[in-house]
Amino acid sequence: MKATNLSTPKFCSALQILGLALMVFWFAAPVLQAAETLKLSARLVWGTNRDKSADDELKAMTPKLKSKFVNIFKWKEYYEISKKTFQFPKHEGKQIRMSKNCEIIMKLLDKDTLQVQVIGEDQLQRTVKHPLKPILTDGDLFVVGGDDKDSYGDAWFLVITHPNLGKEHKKEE
Amino acid sequence: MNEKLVIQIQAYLDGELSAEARLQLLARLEKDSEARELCDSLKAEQSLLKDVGEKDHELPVAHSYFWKAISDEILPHPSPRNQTRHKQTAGAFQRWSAWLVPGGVIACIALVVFQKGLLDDVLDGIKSTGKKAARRAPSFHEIDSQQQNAGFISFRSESEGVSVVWISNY
Repeated sequence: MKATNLSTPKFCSALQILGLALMVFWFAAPVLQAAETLKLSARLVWGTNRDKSADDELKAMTPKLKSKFVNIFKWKEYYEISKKTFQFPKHEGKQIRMSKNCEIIMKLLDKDTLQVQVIGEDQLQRTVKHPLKPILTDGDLFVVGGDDKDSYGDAWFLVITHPNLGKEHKKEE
Repeated sequence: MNEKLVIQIQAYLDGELSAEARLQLLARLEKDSEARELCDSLKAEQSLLKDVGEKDHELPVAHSYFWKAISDEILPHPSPRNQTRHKQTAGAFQRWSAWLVPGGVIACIALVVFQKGLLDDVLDGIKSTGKKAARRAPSFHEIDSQQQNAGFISFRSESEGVSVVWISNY
């Protein structure tokens, strides 16, 4: 006959389950973290004081974004050359072609540092780093810009935003 | 014979009468032959019933109780010394368990908080006093360039929430 020791506390098994859960979580956490992805949007924008010609198939910037740009920069008109929304694992980089001559490489250096490498004509031109948190949590815009060497007086802008920023603007409109 | 006298006789036989009432009844019984006859017959009946009594009846023993009685006989009886040691061990285990369970839960929560980076968000929330304060300005724009004649301007518009790195000769 099996004699059962009734004096052993029942929560002994609860402790074992807790310990097991802790171990599983401990080993699973890095894997889960590595699998986390980052989603961002990038727009290549052309700023000019000229009206676009009829044959240009350029899309005008959304009014909300345009109002921000008008308050900061001197140009009157802003056109979207391209817009890309992309997702990449946080521990890996992502190369995105924005136009025929412009590519960017996005990479997360640490938890809150986004690195953007600007490649023009197949050569690395600039590497800029920026905190990620204001972009993701506060809806801030990170803009890398410069003078357009092919069109005097005009400018180009690379606008990094939260991917849902455009959707919010559409709703507001 | 009246009913009151019969009740008094019954009470006398049951020992329920007071001393005074008992004396009065005994005096009455000496005079009243019919009452005495009733008292004697009731006494005889009472003595007969006392002798009869009730038989003992054994209840059937429950199955589980039967086997428990056997196991109690088989298992060694703990000595007082062993019992004391067992109580001490169980008490120490319970004391440790009382700390271990909440400690384990706190460790799990702390692990989740640290892994998800929630602590930083909480601390940021405590430090900030309003929405504007929570909008922490980017602390740096690090810029590397392979071109020697490159010029940069970095600025931020708080009102628009826009950080700009302007490259002068791209």
